[in-house]
Amino acid sequence: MNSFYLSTLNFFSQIGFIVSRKFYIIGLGVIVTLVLVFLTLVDPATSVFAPKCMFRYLTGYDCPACGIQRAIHALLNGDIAIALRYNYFLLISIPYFIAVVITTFCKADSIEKIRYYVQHPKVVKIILALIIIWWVVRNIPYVKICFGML
Amino acid sequence: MNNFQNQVQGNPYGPQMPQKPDNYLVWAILSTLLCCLPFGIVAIVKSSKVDSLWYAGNHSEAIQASNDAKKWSIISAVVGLVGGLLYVILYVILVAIGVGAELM
Repeated sequence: MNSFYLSTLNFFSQIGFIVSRKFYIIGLGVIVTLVLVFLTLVDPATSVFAPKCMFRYLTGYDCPACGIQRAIHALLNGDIAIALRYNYFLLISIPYFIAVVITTFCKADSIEKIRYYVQHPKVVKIILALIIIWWVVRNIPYVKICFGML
Repeated sequence: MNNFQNQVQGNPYGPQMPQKPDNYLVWAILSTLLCCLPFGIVAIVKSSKVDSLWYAGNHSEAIQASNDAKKWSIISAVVGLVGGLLYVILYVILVAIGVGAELM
């Protein structure tokens, strides 16, 4: 059995909630679909129902993920150019995250070989460094103007 | 569920060696980007240690790092959720005060 599934199963069973693998995958799919539908219909920029970033609320500066809701809303409503301007780093973070999810969930041997490189500690540390660099750079006013960031 | 049986079946290391602990990288990244940045980053760092310690042969420390990654991911998620909840409560209170003041 996949160890990620085992570990989350362990967590859920510790809080008294037993799920089967099929229920788990379907549940995950349902949640992701609901979130995407919600983001298509609701404009996170104006709606009260979209959760706000605590870091941005407290400091006024953007965190590395700020803009992700507005970007997905714009993307799902057809505007790719504007979606990108909300958060350029999503071009790196979303594909990498999908790669991590695929290499975590799939047990196939070919995927296991890729997993070693995708989840390699040096790669993780580089991604972390890039996240922090983006965190700083995206808040510099000159950079914001130069790249037309929203 | 027979946990020992799961460890033995399909184990590339053989029947007596433990299976590689999960590095919780998925949860660490999610809790960093969506919940709480500082604690999430701690979770990512611990999670990166799991693989390097395991392949270096440090099985017990790798398991410890795996537990740490899980712990900090949970802490980050909880802090993020509590923070969000407090924000909502604060918002509702302020709206209530505003409406109350208007009605007076």
